[in-house]
This record gives sequence, structure tokens and C-alpha cells, in this order.
Amino acid sequence: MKFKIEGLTVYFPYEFIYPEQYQYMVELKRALDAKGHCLLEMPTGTGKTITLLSLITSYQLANPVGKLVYCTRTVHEMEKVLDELRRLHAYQEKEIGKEAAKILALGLSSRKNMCVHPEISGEGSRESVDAGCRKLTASWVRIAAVDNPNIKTCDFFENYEKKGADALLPPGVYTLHDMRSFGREKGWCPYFLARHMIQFANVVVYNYQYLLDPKVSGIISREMEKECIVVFDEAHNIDNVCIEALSVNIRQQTLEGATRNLGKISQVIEKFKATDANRLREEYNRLVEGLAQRGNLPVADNWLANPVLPDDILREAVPGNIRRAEHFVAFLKRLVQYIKGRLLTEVVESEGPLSFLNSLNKECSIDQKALKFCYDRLQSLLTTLEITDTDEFLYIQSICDFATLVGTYQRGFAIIIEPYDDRMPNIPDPVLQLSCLDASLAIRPVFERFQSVVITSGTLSPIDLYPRLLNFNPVIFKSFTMTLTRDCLCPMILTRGSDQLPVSTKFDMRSDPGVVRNYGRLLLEMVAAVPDGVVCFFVSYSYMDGIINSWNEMGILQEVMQHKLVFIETQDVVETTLALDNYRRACDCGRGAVFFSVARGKVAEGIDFDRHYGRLVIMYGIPFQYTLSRILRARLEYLRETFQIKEGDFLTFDAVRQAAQCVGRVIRSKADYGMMIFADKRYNRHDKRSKLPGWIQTHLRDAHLNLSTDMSLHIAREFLRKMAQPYDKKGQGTNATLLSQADLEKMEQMENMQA
Amino acid sequence: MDSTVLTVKAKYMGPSKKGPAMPGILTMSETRFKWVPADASVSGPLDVEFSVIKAHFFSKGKKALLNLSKGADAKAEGFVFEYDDFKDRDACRDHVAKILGKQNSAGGGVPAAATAGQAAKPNVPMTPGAQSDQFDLAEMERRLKLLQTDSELQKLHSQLVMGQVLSEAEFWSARKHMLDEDPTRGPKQKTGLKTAMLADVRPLTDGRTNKVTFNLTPEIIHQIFTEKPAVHRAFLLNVPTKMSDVDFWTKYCRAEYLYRTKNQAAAAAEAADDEDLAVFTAEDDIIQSEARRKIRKVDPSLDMAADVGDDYTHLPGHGIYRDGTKEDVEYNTGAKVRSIMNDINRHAAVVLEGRPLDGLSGAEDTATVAHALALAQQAQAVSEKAEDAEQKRLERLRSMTVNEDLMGPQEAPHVPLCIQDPRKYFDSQAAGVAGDAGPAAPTSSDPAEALDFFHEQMAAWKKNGLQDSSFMAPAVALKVMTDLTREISGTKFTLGRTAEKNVLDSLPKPVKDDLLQQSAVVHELLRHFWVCYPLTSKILLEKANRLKEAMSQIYTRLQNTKESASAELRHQISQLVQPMFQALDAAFTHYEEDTQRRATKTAQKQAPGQVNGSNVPKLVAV
Repeated sequence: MKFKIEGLTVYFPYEFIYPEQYQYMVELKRALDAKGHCLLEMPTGTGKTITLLSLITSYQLANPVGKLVYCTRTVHEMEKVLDELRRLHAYQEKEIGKEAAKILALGLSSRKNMCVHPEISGEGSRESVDAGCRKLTASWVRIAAVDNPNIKTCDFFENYEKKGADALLPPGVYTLHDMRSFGREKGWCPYFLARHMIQFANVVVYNYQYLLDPKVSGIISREMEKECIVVFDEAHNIDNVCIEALSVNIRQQTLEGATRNLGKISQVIEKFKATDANRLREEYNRLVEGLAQRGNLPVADNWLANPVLPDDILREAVPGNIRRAEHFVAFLKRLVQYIKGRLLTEVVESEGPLSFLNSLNKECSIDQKALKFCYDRLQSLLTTLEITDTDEFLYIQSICDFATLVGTYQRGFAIIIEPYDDRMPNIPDPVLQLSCLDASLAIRPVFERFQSVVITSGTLSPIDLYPRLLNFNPVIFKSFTMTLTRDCLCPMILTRGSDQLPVSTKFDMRSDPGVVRNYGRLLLEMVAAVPDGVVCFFVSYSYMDGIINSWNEMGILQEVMQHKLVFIETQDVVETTLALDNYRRACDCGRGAVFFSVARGKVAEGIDFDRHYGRLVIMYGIPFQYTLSRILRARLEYLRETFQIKEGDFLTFDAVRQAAQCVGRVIRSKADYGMMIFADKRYNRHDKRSKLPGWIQTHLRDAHLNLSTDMSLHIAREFLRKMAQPYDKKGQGTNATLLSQADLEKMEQMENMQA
Repeated sequence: MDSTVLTVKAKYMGPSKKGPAMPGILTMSETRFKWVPADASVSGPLDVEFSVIKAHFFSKGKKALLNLSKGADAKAEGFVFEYDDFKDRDACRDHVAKILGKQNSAGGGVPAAATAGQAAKPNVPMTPGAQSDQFDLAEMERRLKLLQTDSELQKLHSQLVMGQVLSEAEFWSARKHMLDEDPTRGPKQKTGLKTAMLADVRPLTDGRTNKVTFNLTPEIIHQIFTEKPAVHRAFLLNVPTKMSDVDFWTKYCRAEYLYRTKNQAAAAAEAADDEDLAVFTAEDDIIQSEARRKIRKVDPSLDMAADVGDDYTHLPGHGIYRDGTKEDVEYNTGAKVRSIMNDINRHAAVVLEGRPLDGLSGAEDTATVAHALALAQQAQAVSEKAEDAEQKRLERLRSMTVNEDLMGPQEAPHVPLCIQDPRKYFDSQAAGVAGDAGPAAPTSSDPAEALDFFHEQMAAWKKNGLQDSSFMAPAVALKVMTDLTREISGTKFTLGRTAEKNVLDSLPKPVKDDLLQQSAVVHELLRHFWVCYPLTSKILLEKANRLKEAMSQIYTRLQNTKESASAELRHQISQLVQPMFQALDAAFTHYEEDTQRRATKTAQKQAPGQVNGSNVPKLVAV
């Protein structure tokens, strides 16, 4: 359908639209018009992605704005976004013709997911693919290969290079899979092609990290113009992503690896001195001129840059004491030695960057300015030394990351040295953690650089907290509710088991066999009553492990298996992926299945359990963070001091948003339906319940609070029976839940008349 | 009089059916069953005829019970026996089922058969002329089953066979095909694997010694092999060349036991000593490679393995190592420990692939199981295709992104075309095409075409305006219009209904059923009658005579039906029975002619060898 929003023609690839989607578009358009940032919460199951894509691409057609940079958390979300975009694009082509609707949209991922080289792409990990690629494509390798045909190069890269500027991607929408197919067909390297095409693309879809992590964003996202529209979808966890992006941990093996790396680098320097001293001298001169020169390096060599540094630093010359290669190596050796010494401590130490720098300066006479340049200095050195097996050198890179961050930021960071994990004090595992405490640091460059940043998710409650956490001023922030023709959501709060005893995952209760059994009985009753898929979320891996073992010994698991197949999320992603795939197939074929998963786990983060894949979600307990963690304590303290956010509030907010996120994956559209059971007595308390997103709270009736297992089973049966009845899809009059093109036109006329 | 068919130990649950159970001996014959108590003081012996039993029920649960009920439901008065095992029970159950089946088929059609005289031997289906018929039990059972499922056939059977017009063998000889296509053996749904985790064998202890016992059945072993390919491979390699079957499984159980008792260290130590044992504790490399192969085929919308290759949080040293949300405890220890979770996932995956081995139940030794499984796996590996998988992968992604709720109604709901009488349908179609004189004739029988024509005219009229030359006289137009409307509404109303509307439907149900039944009998009789000719033997002659008798009986019955019908139905009924009368008349005439001819021939002492000129008349279907 095609309609107008305040003069803008919007192309929407369906015959109907939900009223909240329309509202969402209106708000989004106003934010874009105001050239400001916005924060929008819209319940899951209302088609956020297509709404965003539809409005922004239509906006791009009408206004001269930059590209749409769509950030997702996972690769599979990226593929889904691109697939929706493809449908949308097909519709636009139909409406306004092929020429007018011409767009180029592509997804970008790492070499691991894009490489088509027959040997390299089969490599196991991301790092080995990266290194394997560099071994074939680095400029000096290719120069050497010209003279010596025995040196292997990558045909795909060579073909792509030969084409030069002619190697272009025709307009269209390309998923990763399409990129690979295209690359194979043309014989061009899809990875470098995609990176090259980013500057011509209208829509770019990639991971958050490509924009937030300074190590990555420098190369990938440097050429984005200011007029870009940046979207962070599923952004309820964005503060954590930001913090992760600027945090570094250093452990014993990191230091050992770094020492090995430095030894190797010294050897290579010696070799070069003997054979090609000229090279090192050239590098020295380049460094004197300043880091800005780095841009002249060939594209394949230029792999990691540092946009954290303001532009004036880039133009500055590298400090003299680390300009010469051997001096820099000695400098790093001293640093590593110092950190080694610090790790020997037997008590937990915690300090700010300033005091750390002070003692570093005192003991090894390493100054802050030199530290700041470590990262770039290392990259320059590795390039000069023609080191290609970069995955070997990850350890020294970690050290340099750390040095640069410590050298750059004096506030919002904490350095915590822990000799062992609190939870298992017998195993010595010292770690030096540079922890970012302020989520706004990583995202600030994004807010500053781009005109409009859209942060959106199904759960952003309380919505006023995010602008504080991320330290920005949105022009629009709004939370939408969901209009429903029928009550297709059925949240319940279960506080007691079938024996009327309270259930909870509170620390003193969680290992109580009575609670474990009550939780088991709940699942057992439910799998017998609910058709197709059932998903269970637990508060942590260790808790899930424990409870599954107990259930296995009690025989509950065997009884559950009489009704449904059981699949479990494990720490191994491959196994989990296969388990999920099997789970879906079990639901498809009608056998029905249960999936056990972990809140805050990979599955909870991005996998949908919509339609028959999830008719019921059980959230066992409240997924609080481990509150005794030093890093969490440091962060809470920082939040209290800087943003006046109370500790308890933040912890509850964090736990409840995770729980809401888990249960929210059960519904996709208004035709879908699902139940959600919050199985913990603490959910009944107002302070927890009130932090649930609005769309859950409005459906949480008083009769569904404080339930016991038998009562909830009764409600579940009733609900399923009700949902099986036919219903009027469109809704009536004012509470219409589906709008057609005619409805929208009528609305527009009304507005015009009022105006 | 009857010979005892089976004798088993069974406990009689007393007249209350609830117990107490009294042990004794149960004997069953063709007509009756007897039960003699082991302890005569508890209860008197039973001696019951099967004719009083109306139904039987059996238990599915833990106890082997058989309930012979005098009423139609399980609660009615009757006799309940408890057996020591299911084998005995099932034998008795089958016997009773057979007898009751026969009884029902005898009693169903002819209620008079339930008289005392006949009840004594209603189960001897053999007519005097067919004493030589020897059929085995399986054949018999299949016939019974067929009769039970097909009530019309049962009626026919009771009327003709029980009425001793035809013999059992004669009746079935024309229906061999029905017996062959036993519906229960047809393309039934393939049973999947059981969900229970059989491979998770739990040891049994006797409580006195330190000995534990593992019980392995072929089913369990099959599951172990499918869920742990490494064990399967080890078995194929080592048994029986290197070690015996029993040794292998002892080793396996040992490893399992150590694992079960959470004695990982001991398990590892044992494994270090014994390389055969190591197979059971080590990580399964076959599963690993299989996982790598499968991961390429998974739906991209849940491919989390791709994420690991994408974002940079998985680099060592990146991010927060130890905070409140993460617990990479296992990451520290390095080696992956086998856990119940892996077992459960693996089990569920195997169940889902579900390929139970045929003939597994018969396989007694594990080697057969192992080899059968290896063969099945090879066959499966061949049948997989890469391209299909890719296609499916994309389709699934699509199904995960499209929102059907927002799409418009896909297509108007329509009634699927159902042609009951294809010949009639196509004939009428052909006539329509032939008789159509083109678009210029709005009176054509095809309303759609006429409408099109009308639309065309309208369009032309809109474009050109009113012109006298192309303008019709109002009266003509009106006439065409009315005709057309009537035609359209008429066809719409009658379309697809004419086929159903036959004479039979207008009759009341009992009359209709009766007629159908009679016509079936007539056809059966006629068929057998015509098959008898030429009468070359005495048996055939007897049969023909018998059939003629039966035919004349049914002739009179038909006559009666026709005459007794009410006035408004009589015409229709006579229409319907007319073909039957004709066919019967033809048979009678033939019979008379033949008798006469033979009479003259015997008079002339000539051999009867004349070929019968007339064919079997074509029976007109009702």
C-alpha cells in the first residue's frame, strides 16, 4: 500500500498496516525532519523492522539524505532485515518503476562469513580466516608473487583488484548469501567488494560493533557522511554493548602470548635490519610526519584504525621514544613486565586510570602520551614488518588496546585486578580488567557524527533512563502500546507451586528441592496442556545445569519427554544452533518440543519463538546480575555518582528488561498468540512488576497475579481454547487494529479538514 | 463335541470383576470357555458359552486383563481374567475376537439366527457342499476383519452364506482383491522413534552385593549406536575380531557407570589405561564432523554460529572478562566435559531424524543391529541433496520474515470442483462448445461468455456514445436481459447439483437402504449364477439350482417391495427395480432353456457341450 504522512509518500509492502506502525512512522518522520536523534519503544509483534525500513527508504526517495546504516546485534537478524528489505524493494519497483526505485543495499560481515576462497573459507575461526586472507592478499605478498609464481595469491582478490574502479555491484538488495553467490559468479572477492561498495550503498546493514567499537569502526565506517540515518535495532542492551566495546581484559595467557609476540617481533626487526634497513627508516620518517599518512596504505593492509583519537592527534607526530621499532618493542616489554607484576597480587585492587598511570610512570617511566599512540604504532610496525599471520599477534594487540584506552580516557574507566573469581576462590585466575563504566563514551562519536540516530526496541522501559545512560538528547522519545483485536498475550505471575509453597530463584531458595520440584511440576503440567513449542528461560547457565540434573534424577525430565522432545542451549554455539534448528523442525512436524535457554544468553538475545515455535514461555526466576561482581559494583557506583541512578533501581531495571526480552520473543504479529509465565514470587511485588514494559503490564490482569501451578494451568487451558476460535481480524471502528489504504486516506482527509 | 483350542493359566476376578483374583486354569474351545479354579474351595468352576458374550475388552496398562462382557460396554456383567503375561492374554484375546466376530456377523443381518438351536453352532461357516474348503487362520482373520469394517459386505455375507445359498469359498472367490489390499497393511504412517531416553541405561543393584546390572535390549543398543556413533564404529571394528560381544558391552557399561557416579577422574584414569575404553569417554569426532556438515544447512535466521565469526567480542582480551552477567567457568578449564545436556540434545536430534530399523524386534544379537544401522546410514548419505537443502534454507528464512497478518486476503474462498459423473460432465461441455455460435449469440448456454459479450457491448457503447445503428430495440434488449438473468441464476442454482439429484435420493432412507441391499444381493446372485454355466458337473448344477431358488425368492421379495411402496414412491421404485427384474428374467429364461435343452439332450443321450451363446448381461448400475 501507498500513503502519505505529512506530505511524504510512504511505500509499505503489505495491504494492511497496524495503527501503531503508522504512529511509529509519524514520529520517526518528525525526528528525521528535525535532524535529531530519537528513542522509540514499540512492542514486539508489531513489525518494527519493516516499519523502519519502509519509512526511511521512502524518506530517502523524497529527500536528499545520506545512507541508512542499520545496525543489528546478530548476523541472523541482519539476514532477516535484508530479506524484508528485498520484499519492500520489490514492492517499490512495482509502484514507481525500476529506475526510480533503484537502491543498493548490502550486509557486511567479517571475512569468515563472506569469504568464498575454497580453502580459506573452510577455516574454523574468524581469526584464522582473517589471517589466511591476509597471507594471500597483503600487498607485499602480491608484489613478491609477481616475481615468484610459487607464492600463492587469492584469485578472487586479484580479479577484483584488476577490475579496479569498474568492479561494481549492480543495484539491488544483497544478503550475505547473495554477496557470496555474486562473488563466486564474477570471481570477485565479496568481502572487499562489499567494503568498497559501502560508500555507494543506500542501505548498509551490519553489526553494532562496526559502528561502536573503535577498533572496527575506523576502517569500516570512516567514509559515512554526516547525513546518514543510523538505526540501532533491538537496542535495549546497547549500554552493555558500548561498555564491552571499550573494555579490555588482560590475563596470564595474554601476557605470556604478548611476550612471545614481542620476541618474534624483535627477531623480525633484526632480520630486517640485516636485509632491508631502508624499510624501517622509511617507517620512521612516516611516523615523524604524523599518523594521518596511514590512509595511503593499500586497502588490504589497512585493517584496524583508531577513531577514538581526535583528528588533531592523528596529525600529530608519534612521540620520539617509540618511533624507532626496537625502542617501541622495548617500551612494550616494560609495559608487559609491569602488568605481570601487578597480576601477582593476592588481594583485589581497584583504581582509576589516573593512579594507574601515575604508578606506571613512577615504576617504568612510561608516560601517558606514548601510551595513547601504542595502538597505531603497533599497526604501523606490523605492516612495516610484513607480518601476515595476525591471529598470532592478538595478545600484543590486546595490550596495545589497553594502553591506548588508559592513555586516552581519564574518566569513566576503572582498573580492577582480581586474583580469582569470587564464585570459585580456590582456582587462581588473575585478571586485570580495564572496565568502561560509562556507556556514553563509546556511543558519543556516533551521536556527534551522524545527523539522526534512531534507537529502538521492544523493551526500552523505563524509557527516560536511556537518554541518561547514553548521555544524549533525543528530539523524540516515545513508547507505543499495542492495539489488539483479541487478548492474544497472556502474561501470568506464578508465585506458588502446586503445593502452595512459594517459588523463587532467590539465592537462599534456589537449591531447595521443593522449589526445584515445583518448577519441574509446572513444566510438566504445561507441556501436557500446551501444544507445539514451549520455551523455558533460566537465570544462568549454572542454575540451568543444576536444575536439569536434578530434574533428571527426579525423573521429571523423563516425564516431560513423554510429551515433548527436549532441547537445551549449551555454551557451544554450534550445538545450540543445531538444537534450535531441530527444535523448529520438531515444532513443524507436530511432535512439539521444549527449549531450555538462559536469560542473557545468545538465544535470548536474538532468536524468535513466534507462532507455533513458542506458545508458552516460562521465565524461571528474575535474571539479576551477579551483584557481588567488582566490575558491576564499580559501575553502579559510577552511575550513582554521575547520573544519580540508584543501585537497586538499576539492578531491577536490568533484570526485568532481560526477562521482558526473553518473553517478548513469543509473538510476532497480532494473529499470533502466546502465554508468558513469570515464575518467581518476587515478580508479584510492585517495584518489579512496574518495570515491565507497558505492553506486558496492560495485559497483566489482576486475576493473573499471585497464581499457583494449578491455577495457571487452568488459565492456560482457557486461553488456548479461546485462541482457537475464529475472530475478526480487522477490529471495529475506533479500535481498529488493521488499517487499509482507504482508512489511511480517510484519516488524512480528516486531518486536512481540521487544519 | 468341540476340541479345546487353548489352555492357559488365568486368574478369575470373581463376579464383581474387581477381585480378589482366584488362580485357575482357563480353557477355550470354539464355542465355549471353561475355567477351573486351582483351589476348589474358593469358587466353583465356570463353563460359559461364547454366545452369551457380547463384547470383549482388554487392558493396555501394567496388568494383563481380559474382560468378557455380556453387555455392550465394559461395565456390564461378565467375566474378567487376569493373566500372568501378555502373551497368554493376547492369545486368548485373539481367539475370543475371532469367535465374537463370527458371532456378530452371523447375528447382525439375520436377527433370527440368535435362536437357541442355531447358537449351538453358528460358527461353523462351512456349508455341506464345501466341506473340503481348507483355509488357514490368517485368511480367516482377514475375512473377518473385512466383514467387520464393511457393513454392507457383512449383510450380503450373512444373507448369502449364512442363508446357505453360497459357500464361504464361493463368496470370497470373487473378492480376493479385497483381501489382498488389507487396509491395515497399506501405506501406513511410519512410526517414529520413541522419545524415551533408552540409551540412558540406569544400573540396577541387588542391594546385597556391590554388583550392578545393566539390562540392554536390541532397542536400547540401537539407540546407543545412533546417539553415539563412535561406539558404533568401535563395535564394528572390534567385535568379534578383537573382543567378544559381551566384553564390549561390559566395557561400555563400566564407562557408563563411572560417568554416572560422577567419577570423572576415575573414568579418565581407566580410559588412559585402556584405549578401547577411551572411545566411550572421549568426545565424539563423528558427531563433531556431522555438526559441521549440518551447520551449513541451518536456517540463516537462527544461525548463531555465524555471529561468532562476525562481531569482535569473541576476541581474547576484548570486553569484560568476569562480570555479573557472564559465567565462562567452563571456558577456563578448557576441555569440554560431557554433560547431560549434550546427551539430551543429541538424543532429541536422533529421535527427530527418527529412522527405526525394520525388523529390529527380531534381531537378537547386537551385531545384526550394528550392521543394519551401518547400512541404513549409508543409504541415507546417498539420498541427501545439497541444492534442495539450500532452497529449503531460503524458504524458511522467508517464512520467518513475512507477516501474513498484514497481507490482504490471498484469494477468495472457493468450492473445489467435484465432478461426480465425469462422462456426463464432459459430454455437456462438448455439447456447449459445439452448439456455441460465437459471441454474437447472447442466448448461448455459457453465461460467462454472454456476460463478456454484454460487457463488450457496454464498453463500445460508452466509447462511441449512442448510435442508432448499434442500438437495440428496448423490447429486444429487455427480453435478452431477462433471459440472460434467468439463465445465469438458473445455472448458478443447478450447477453441480444435477449429478446428485437422482431418483434414489428422493426415497426415504429405509426404503433406499433396502433397495440397495437387495440390488447388491441380486447382483451377487446373478454373478454366481452366470459363472456356473455351462453346467459341466453335478456340483455346478446343484449350485445353479440353489441360486435359482434364491433368485426366485428375491424376485418375489422385490415384487413385494414394489407393491407395498406408497403411491407416490411406486413409480420411482419400479423404475429402479426394473433393470433388476430384467436381469433376473433373463437369468430365469436362460435357466429354463438350459434345463429344457439338457432334458432333451439326456433324452437323446448326447453329451452336453454346447457353448452358451449369451454373455453375462451387463448389470445396470443404480
